[in-house]
Amino acid sequence: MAEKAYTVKLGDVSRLLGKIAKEKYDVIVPTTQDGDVLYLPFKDGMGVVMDHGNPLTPPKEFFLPQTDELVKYKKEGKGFKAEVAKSSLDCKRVLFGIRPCDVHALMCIDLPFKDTYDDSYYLQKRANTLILAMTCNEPGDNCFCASMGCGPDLDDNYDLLFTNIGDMLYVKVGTDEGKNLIDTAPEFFDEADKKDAKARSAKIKEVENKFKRKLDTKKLGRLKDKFDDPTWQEMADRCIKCGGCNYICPSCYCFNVVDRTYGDDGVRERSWDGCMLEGFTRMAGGANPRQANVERMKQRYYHKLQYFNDRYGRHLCVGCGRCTDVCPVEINMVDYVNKIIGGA
Amino acid sequence: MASEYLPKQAEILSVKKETADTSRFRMKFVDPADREAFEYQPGQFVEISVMGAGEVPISITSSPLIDKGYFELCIRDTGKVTREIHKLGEGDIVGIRGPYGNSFDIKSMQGKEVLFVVGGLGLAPLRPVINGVVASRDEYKGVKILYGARTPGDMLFNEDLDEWSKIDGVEVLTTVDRADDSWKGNVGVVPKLFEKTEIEPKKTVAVICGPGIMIKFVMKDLLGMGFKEKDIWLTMERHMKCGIGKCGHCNIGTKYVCIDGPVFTFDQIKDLPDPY
Amino acid sequence: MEKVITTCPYCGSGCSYFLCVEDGKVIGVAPNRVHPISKGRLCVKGWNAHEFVHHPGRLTKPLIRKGGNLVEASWDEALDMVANRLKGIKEKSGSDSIGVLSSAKCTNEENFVMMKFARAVIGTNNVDHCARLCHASTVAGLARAFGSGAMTNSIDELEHADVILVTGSNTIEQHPLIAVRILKAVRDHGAKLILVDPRSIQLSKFAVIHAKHKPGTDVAWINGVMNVIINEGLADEEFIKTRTEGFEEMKKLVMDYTPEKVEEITTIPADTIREIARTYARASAASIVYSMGITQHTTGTDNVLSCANLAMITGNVGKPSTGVNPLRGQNNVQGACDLGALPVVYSGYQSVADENVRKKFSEAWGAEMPSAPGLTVVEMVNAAADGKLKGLYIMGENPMLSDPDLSHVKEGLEKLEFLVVQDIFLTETAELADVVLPAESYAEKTGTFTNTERRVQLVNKAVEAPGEARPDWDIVSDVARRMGYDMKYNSAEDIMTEINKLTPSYTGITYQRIRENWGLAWPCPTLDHPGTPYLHKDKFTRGLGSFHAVPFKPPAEETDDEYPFILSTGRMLEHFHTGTMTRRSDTLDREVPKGFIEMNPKDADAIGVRNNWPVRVTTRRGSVVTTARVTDGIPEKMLFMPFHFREAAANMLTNPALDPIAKIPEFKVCAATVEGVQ
Repeated sequence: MAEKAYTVKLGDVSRLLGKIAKEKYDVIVPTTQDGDVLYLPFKDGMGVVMDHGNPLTPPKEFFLPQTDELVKYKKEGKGFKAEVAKSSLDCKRVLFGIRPCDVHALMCIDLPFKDTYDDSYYLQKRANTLILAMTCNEPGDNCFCASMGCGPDLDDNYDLLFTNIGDMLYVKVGTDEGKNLIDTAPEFFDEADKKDAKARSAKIKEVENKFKRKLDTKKLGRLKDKFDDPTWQEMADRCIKCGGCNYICPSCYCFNVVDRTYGDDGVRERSWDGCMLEGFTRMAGGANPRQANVERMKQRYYHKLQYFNDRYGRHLCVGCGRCTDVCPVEINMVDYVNKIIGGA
Repeated sequence: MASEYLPKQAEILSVKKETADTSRFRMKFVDPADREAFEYQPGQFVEISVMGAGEVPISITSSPLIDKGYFELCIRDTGKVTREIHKLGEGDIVGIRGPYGNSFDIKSMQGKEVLFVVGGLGLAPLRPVINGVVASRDEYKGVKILYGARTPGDMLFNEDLDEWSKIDGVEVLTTVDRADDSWKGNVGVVPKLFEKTEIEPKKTVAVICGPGIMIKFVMKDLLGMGFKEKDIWLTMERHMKCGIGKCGHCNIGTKYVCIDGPVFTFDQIKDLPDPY
Repeated sequence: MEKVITTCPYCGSGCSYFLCVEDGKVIGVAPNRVHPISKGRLCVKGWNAHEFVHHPGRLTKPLIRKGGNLVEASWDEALDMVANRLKGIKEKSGSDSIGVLSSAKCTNEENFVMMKFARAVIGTNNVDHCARLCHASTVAGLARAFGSGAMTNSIDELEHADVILVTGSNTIEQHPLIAVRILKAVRDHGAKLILVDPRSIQLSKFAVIHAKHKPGTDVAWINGVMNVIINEGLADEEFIKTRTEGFEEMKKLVMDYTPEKVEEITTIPADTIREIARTYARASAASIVYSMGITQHTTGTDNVLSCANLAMITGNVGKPSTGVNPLRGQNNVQGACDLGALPVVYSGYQSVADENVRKKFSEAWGAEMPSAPGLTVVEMVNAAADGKLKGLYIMGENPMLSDPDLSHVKEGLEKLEFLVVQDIFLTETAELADVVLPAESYAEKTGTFTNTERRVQLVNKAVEAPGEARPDWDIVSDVARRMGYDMKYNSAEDIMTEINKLTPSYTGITYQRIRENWGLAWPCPTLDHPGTPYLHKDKFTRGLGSFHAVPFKPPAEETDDEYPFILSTGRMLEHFHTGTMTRRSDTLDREVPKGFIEMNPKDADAIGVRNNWPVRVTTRRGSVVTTARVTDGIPEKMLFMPFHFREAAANMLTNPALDPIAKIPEFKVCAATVEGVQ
C-alpha cells in the first residue's frame, strides 16, 4: 500500500500507547522488568523499551500461549458435556514493538495452522491482533535474520511499521486498520518528509552491515546429502536435553495436549512441546522412532531448514538467534550449520 | 468459536473381547446429526477420548459398506488412555473427533491381485480394506491375506479370517511367533509366509500394516521380489495428539502422518528419515 | 499476563526465571537473561517447573484420619488435634519422644520457624531433614577440614578452572546449569576434565581421563593420587606449611597407598592414578566437584575429608576457581542446614552444645533450650520402630520414598502414636499420617532459598494457593500458638528479620538487598558486607586447614555368591528426588514415565534378559520389579537404579547402614541380585 508515512516523537510513544490502550485495545509492549526485556500488557506509567534487544520469550506466547485451554468438560453420569474453552482473544489487541523476524515467525505458524484444518484458537488471536512492528537498530550477537530474508526490514504483514531514526520513530502504514489507529490519535503523528524517509533508508542500510553472523543460505540445499555428517553427533553429545531451543523458538509450534480434572470439571489444554524431547515421538507401547538424541537433533534442524520449506515454500527459521541464546551449552546454530554445509 | 478440537459424544453399544488385551468397541454418535455427518473410508482414524485421561488416535475397523448406523474401533490396552477405555462398557459415553487422515484407494487396485501382509493389531485398520475388496471380489484378480500374531491367543478377528478364507479366490495364511499346544499352523515371522504362496509382483498390489520391525523386513522382501514402489501400500503408526496436522508429533520429513497419511505408497515415504 | 521472578524449586543450582501468570494461573516459565546463574538458560525441569502447581492432586483442605481413612476437616479441627496430640505426648513421654522433620524444599524462613518450633515449643533437638541423606558427610567433613561445611567457591568460577576433577556427580543430569560451566571451561577455555565415576555418563565424552572405580573405594583412589603427588614432588609445600596442620600424620598413612595397591582395591589402573595425580597437581587452578557419589557411603565423611586433603595438598583452596565444591541436591538444602534444621546446631551452625549460644536463643525465644543433641533422620525412624519416638511432625519430606530400607521406615512410621505430615501433595508418607496439612507451593509464597554456592535468593508469590492451603511457616506458628507458645509472624520477611538478629552469617541478608543484587552469598555479617563468593581466602574458617589421615574401609555390605551385584542408586535429569513434583508434571513424567535398572549387556545375557524386559531386583531388605535398561555404560556386576519411582522404589532395597560421624546411609553401595521375570 503506497500510503503516506508519518513520524512520532520518541518522547510521545508512551502517551500514544496509553491513548490506544484506552480505545478498547489491549496493548502489549516490550518493557524492562527485573533487569530483562519482556513483552507485557501496557499499564499507565510503564516504561516502553524502544531500542531493545529482542525479548528472549518470543511474541508467539500471545498467539500460542505456553499453556492454552482448548476444551472445558464436565463429567456427567456415564458421559460428559464439553464446550470450547473461552481462552481465546475476543477483543482487539495491539502488539507494539514486535521485530520483523518475529512477524515472519508468525507467518510461518500461519501456514500449518491453516493447512487442511483451521486452528481457530490461534487464528482468532492472529486476526484480532494488530501488528505494530519495529525494525531493529542493533542486531544481537546471535542474530542472522538478514541471512534468512526476515530482516532487518519488513515488507508486509504489519499494520504499522516503526523505525527509530534518532529522536523520532518513522511510521509506515501497512493496512487500513493501521491507518485507523493513527486516526484515533492524530495529535501524536506528523507527516513524514523526504528527509525522514532518507533517514529511515540509511538506518536500515546501517543495520544490514552490523550482523556478526551469517548463515550461508545459498548452500542449504546441501543439507539433504548431509544426513550422516558426524557433526550432528557432536551436537547431540553436547546437548543437555532442556528443550529450550524448541520452547523459545518463535516459529516452533508443536504442542502437547493433556486433560486436567478437578472433581467433575476438567479442562483439556495444550502446552508447548518440542521435538528435542525424547517422549515427543514415543508411542504408547514404548517404541520410539527417534530414540537417540542425534535423531531428534536432525529432526529439529531439517524441519527448520529443509522439510518445512519443501512443504510450505519458506524456511521455518527466521534467524532470530534465540535458540543459540537460550542453549545452556552454547550450541551455535549458525556455526554448526555452516560447518555442515561447508558454508562461510 | 468453532473448534476442531471439540469432541462429539458417542455411546458404546457393545464391547467384544478379541484377545486378552484387545477389544472391539462398537459405538454410535449420541446426536443424530453427528451420526449423519460421519462418513469415513477404509484406512481413516478417529481421535477417541476419555475425559480426564486424554485422547488417542485409533483407526476405524468397521466398514462403511457393511456397518450402518455404528462404527467400530479395535483397541489394545497399552497406555494411559486405552487403559481407561478398557474400563468402559455398554452405555458409556466417549468423545470422538474425526474421521481424520486419508484412505486406501481400493478402486485403483482393481484388476490386480491384492496381497495383504499384516502383523498383530495391524489387522484392525486393514479389516475395512479387506472387506471393501472382497465385497467386489470379481473386480480384483485375487486376494491373499498373510497374517501373523505373537501367539495363537493374539489373533484378531478369527471369525472374519474364517469367512474370508471361504470366499472363492481369497487365500488366507496365518502364522504365529510362538505356538502353543492347540496351534497346528505355521510358526515364524510374517515374511516367512511368502514361501507358502505364489506371488506375481507385476500383477499384484501389496497392502501392509504391522509393527515397524515387520514392515522393515516385509518391505525388503517385496522390493526384492520386484514390486513397484507405487504398488506397495502401507498405513503408518506414529505418536499423535491433534490428528489435524498442527501438534507436530507425527511429522516425518515433509509429511504429517495424520493429514497426509496414515496411508502411503512406498514411493511417497521411501526418502523420509526413519519412517518406521 | 504477568511475569513474576522467582527461584527454581528443583536442584541446588539456584536458577531463576519468571513464572508467567494469566488469570490467576501459572501458565509457563520465561527465562531471565541477567540472572547470574541461569543467564537466560534452564534445564528441562526448570522449563516445566510450572506444570505441577495446578495439578488436580494438590492438597486443598486439611485431612484427618477417621475410621482408617483420611477425611477432610477444618483447619481448626486439624490444628487443634495436632497441638493437643503433640502436647499430650510431650507431657506423657517427654519432649525427646517427639521428632520434627524440616524440609530442604521449604524456604529458609520456614526451616527457621520449624527448628524454633522443635526447640522452643516441643523442647527437643530432634530436628533434622533430608540433608542427612545427601550431604551430612559434607557438612561434617568440610567443617572438620576447613571449618565450614559448604561449597568453597562459586558456580561461575568453574568456568575458569584449568583442571576440574568431577567425582560422584553426574553433573549434567543433576546440576545441569552447573555442568554447563564445566562444558564451557573444556570447550572454550581448554580446561582438562578428570572424571572418576563407575558409570559412563554424558560428561565422560568431555573428560581427558575417565577412571571407573569400584563403588565404595573413594578413599583408596584419593590416597593413591596423593601418594603420587607426594612422591613426585608435586605437593604445594608452601601452602601445607603456612595454611594447614596434620600433614605429616596423613603423609605417613598415604605412603602405604601405592598406585599398584590402589589398583587392587579400586580397579583403576595404577598408571591412571598417576595420570590423575599429575594432571590435577600441575594445574594452576584445580577445582574438585563432587556430589552424592562421595557422600552417600558409610565412609562418607572419610570421602569428604579425602577430597579436602587432596585440595589442600596442592594448595587448591582459598583461590578463585579452585576448592572443594559439593553440589547440593535440593533447592534449599544449603539453607535448611544454614537455618539450623539439624540436631546439633542452631541457625548459622551455632552449636547446641555451646552454653552461650543456648543462652542467647533461650533469651530470644523465652524458653529453656534443650542441650542434648537430637536424633538424625534415620535415627528417628529407628527410634520410632523401637517405640521410643512417639510423635513425628514432617514438613515437606517424603521418607517413604527417600529413606533407606522402606519396609523398616514404614514399620517405624506406623508404630508412631501420632504422625502429622504437611505437604503440597498426598505423598507416600502423607498416606500414613494421622493428620495431613495442605501447604503452599513455591509459586504461592514468598521467602528465600539458599543455593549450593551459599547464595540467598528470593522466591516470590505468583498466584494464590489452591483451596485452603497455607504457607508452611504460617501453619507451624499456628500449631505453636495452639500449644501455648506465642509465635506470630506477619510475613516471611518478618521471620528474616529475626534470622538476621540471631544468625551472624545471615545478619546482612535482607530482602531489600537480595532483591537488588540477585541474592547474597553468606557469610554476610553486616548490612554493608558484599557477601562471600569464595571461602577460606587468606585463612580457613577454622584457622588452619586440617589434614586427616584416612584409611580405606570397605562398604558395609559387600557382594557374595547370593548377592553378586553391587547396587547403586541415584537420580536423573527429568525427575527430582521422590517425584512428588516431577511425576505430577505432564511433560517430565512423559519423558521418563517409569523406573528402570541399568545393567551391563553381559550380565543381562547371563540372566536371559533383554532391554526393556521386566526384572526382579533383590537385596537383604526387599525385592522390587522394574524394567531392565541394558547399557554398556555400566560395568559388569554393577546395577544402577534411580529412586524417583514409587512403583519401583529403589529404597526398598538400600542398606540403612550409617556413616558413624555424619549418620548418612549407604545409598550408593549394597549387595543385590537380579533375575528376569515372566
